[in-house]
Amino acid sequence: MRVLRRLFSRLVNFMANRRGDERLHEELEQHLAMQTEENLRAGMAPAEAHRQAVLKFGGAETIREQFHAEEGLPLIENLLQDVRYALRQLRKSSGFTMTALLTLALGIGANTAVFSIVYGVLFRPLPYPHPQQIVQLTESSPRGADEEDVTYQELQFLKQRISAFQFLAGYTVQGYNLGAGNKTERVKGLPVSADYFRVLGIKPLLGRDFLPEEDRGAGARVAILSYGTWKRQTGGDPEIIHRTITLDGEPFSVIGVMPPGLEATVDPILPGATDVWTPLALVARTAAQGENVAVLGRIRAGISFPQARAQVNGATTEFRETFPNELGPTTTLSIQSYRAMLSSDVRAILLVLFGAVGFVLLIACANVANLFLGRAAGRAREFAVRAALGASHNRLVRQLLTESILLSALAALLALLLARMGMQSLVSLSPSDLPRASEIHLDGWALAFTLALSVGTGILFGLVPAFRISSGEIYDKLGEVTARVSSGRRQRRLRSALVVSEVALSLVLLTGAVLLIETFWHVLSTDPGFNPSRVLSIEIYLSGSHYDSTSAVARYYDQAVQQVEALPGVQSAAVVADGIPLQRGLNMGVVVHGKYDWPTFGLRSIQADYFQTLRVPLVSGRAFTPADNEQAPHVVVISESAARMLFPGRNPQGELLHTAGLDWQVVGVSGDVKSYLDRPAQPTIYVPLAQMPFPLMRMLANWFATDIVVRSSADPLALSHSIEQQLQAIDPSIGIGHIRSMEQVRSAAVASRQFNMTLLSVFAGLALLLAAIGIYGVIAYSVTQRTHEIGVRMALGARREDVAGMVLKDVGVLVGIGLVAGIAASLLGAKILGSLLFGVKPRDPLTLAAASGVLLLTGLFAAWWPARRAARIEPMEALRNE
Amino acid sequence: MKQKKDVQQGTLALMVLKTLEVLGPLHGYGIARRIEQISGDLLFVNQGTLYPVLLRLEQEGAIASEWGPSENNRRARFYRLTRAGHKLLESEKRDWEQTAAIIARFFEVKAEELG
Repeated sequence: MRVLRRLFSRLVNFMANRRGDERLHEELEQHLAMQTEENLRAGMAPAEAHRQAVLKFGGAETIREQFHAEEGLPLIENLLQDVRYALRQLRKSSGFTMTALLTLALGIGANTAVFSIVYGVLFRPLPYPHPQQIVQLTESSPRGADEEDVTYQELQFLKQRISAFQFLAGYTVQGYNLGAGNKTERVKGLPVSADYFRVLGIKPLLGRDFLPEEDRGAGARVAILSYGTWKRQTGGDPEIIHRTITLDGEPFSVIGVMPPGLEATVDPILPGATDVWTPLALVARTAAQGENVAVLGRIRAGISFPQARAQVNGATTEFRETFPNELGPTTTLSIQSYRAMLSSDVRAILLVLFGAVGFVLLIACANVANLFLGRAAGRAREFAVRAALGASHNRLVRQLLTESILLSALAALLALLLARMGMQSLVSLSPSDLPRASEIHLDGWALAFTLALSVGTGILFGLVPAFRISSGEIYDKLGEVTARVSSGRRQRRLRSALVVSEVALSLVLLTGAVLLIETFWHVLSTDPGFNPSRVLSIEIYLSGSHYDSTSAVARYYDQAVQQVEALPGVQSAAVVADGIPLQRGLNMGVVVHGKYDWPTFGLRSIQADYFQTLRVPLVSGRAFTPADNEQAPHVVVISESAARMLFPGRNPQGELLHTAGLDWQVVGVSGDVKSYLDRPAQPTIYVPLAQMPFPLMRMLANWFATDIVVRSSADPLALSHSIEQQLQAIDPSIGIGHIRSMEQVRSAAVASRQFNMTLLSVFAGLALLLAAIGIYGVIAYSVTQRTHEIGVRMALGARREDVAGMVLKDVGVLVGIGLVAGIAASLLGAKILGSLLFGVKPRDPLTLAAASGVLLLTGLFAAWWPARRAARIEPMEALRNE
Repeated sequence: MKQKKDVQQGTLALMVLKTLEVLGPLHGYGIARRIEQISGDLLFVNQGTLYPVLLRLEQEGAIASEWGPSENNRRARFYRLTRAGHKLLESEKRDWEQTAAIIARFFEVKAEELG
């Protein structure tokens, strides 16, 4: 209480800048006067009486200082004084300040930008109540954890057996043609269990949630709209509840609208935000066949994550007995935090980038520390004088730290601006499937991070010169007449260490960047198995009740291809369902002679001209012809790798296989076509579109686009408008989705790798630039310091080449040591990059050599000017300047 | 000559409080004189050190001060004990007596008693 009261009155005095000087002065005067009178009464002479009074009182100045220290807050006053002084110092040496400021702002800004992305994507709690209780069902095996998709029956089983969950909900993904009024739009639908929104813990903005009875039996035709769809499709009509919309031509009653900002589910087939939710029971039977129900659960309050996981683990055995052939022998059921699952694909690269940008900051710090060291050497006399005048050693160190932290705080302000700009371009550069991209923004966490970073860096590089002061070196400076005597050995060693670590850090970054660049080129130059140039792909969605049989669908597509092929500039066209190349497509099991082969095969329904249009080579046998129609015998073409797998050592021609519920005869073998450039081609079965069983065709159309691919003689995108017109001339009700050239499809397939490569290259380039500046600074400074020595050498007969050689050799040695350290670090850290590489090993010696070469050249280049200046020193002048 | 002891701040503060309790409102010089008289000129190196202590006690709320006329009609700053000051003096006095009693017992103890 007393302490508080005292602090308060001190604070008030401090704020009001109130000083009791006058009061004290008057009190002292009176005190002395009274003492003097007393002395007079005791019989002293007037002069002596006054002298004794003063002596007895003590040093008035000391008392005043004590009084003043008691009155205000000397700590803060000193700090303010330090800050004022530091500002003056920084203003005085504006060149130094600008260089340090920019270097730091770049380093901190890049870190803040990447931090915001890393935090937003990986760590920000999901915008749901108690988000840590939301988990996704996974399967875990010795190879790791992966999302576990189950059937509708399996979901019901889990619901009954596992009590750790308050709510357990399944969801799957389905594309819809959504019609409201006279507008039709292709949207992402999410058939969900009635409990889905209770798992997430969100309530509708308008209307109500699904009722349990709407998700039973065949399911009710009700729908909940997303905020975006509601605004877009109905203009935010508040009377939307109980209105009817159509989904794929079927009427659905709208029962609710969800609030904005709902998390996008991560789905490789249909990425992006959900537009409409429907009851899972509606698609339960069809989805069950495809085993495509993902499961989310909310853990009951009071049950911990490990407890819940143990319970899910425990259900594995019974699950395996009830549903044989579902889980591999080493696989167990498990759960993962939903947040972690959402961003699991990008976790590795984001952390690598975060580490990389941290390295850049370290290098920036080394540079600024170097600058501070040089300046501290220049100010040695100033410090020596201040020390001699009684500034305590602590006070000097505090002064230096104040300057460095002030500088980094200013840099942090600048960095926030840079981060803002940088983040916008980063997010726009980032691949479209970056999860939770909408949650990336500069917020309190980013500000706190930046603040911590700036204080941390300020202390880091401020301590280096402060440490030198503590070592006592500085106090000798007062005795030195000039500052020309070369700086101490200790200081030289410190600077060398900074250069070495800069080189080592840069090498690690550079090696990583070069590895990613190599990976990118390997991926890009991989033969996808078809010729993507001058090919257009257009997504088509048929809807309406008149497409009620395979022949009706095939009839439309035959007509479409005919019309499109008649257009000028079109060489050939064909329709392919369930996935174009370089996109994820349909997977199916295949049975040959009763044997069920694992893993699954790709299955595509195609028209006759598909292979010819994409220039996929035919290895043997024949391609399809228009004669392979519904009435003709069922035939398939299989890819080379499928032929090797299904019929090893045999000619597959004429063999039978069973898939999609039918028996098929192999009539041809095609070349392999890739779905992912960086993975081996998936063995694939091609069936004639006209022979696909209709129920399966209809179900698959909910998940996968059907594309018409068109080979043109010129720029394919120029044709898109006329093709679209032709397609709609036949049936105006069809929906058109993405229109892309296959070159664009290929670019999209490498977009995330391109992002990784670009970012790491930028960071490596930044590191290289900073390292070059750092090396230049250190060498230039040392040449200045050694002017006298060099003059002596030259006077003794050293040639100019020798001097330049000496300087370059010094640099070479430093860079060499840095390279050795960097190579060691790269070899140690190689594993981190492993999963991100393709076609190149993480410890590729050639890459290391190339990166080292680049760094060595950079180092020598940076040292070139100082070396030249050293060589131009005039010995006589250098010596005369003694 | 024996060196005068510089009084520790806490002790000095306690003396100030006690002086004000016994004599009522007093100016700085008066307090200094009184403490000197009682301690027999042994305590102060410098009378001036009294003033920071007075300021501190005032900021803690133990004493209050105001200008007033002194005995020979000078303007002087008079200090007086507040209610909080009385309480503070009481508790400090108890602490001090306790400490003094403990120390005294330590000095009385003889070697054989510990044996």
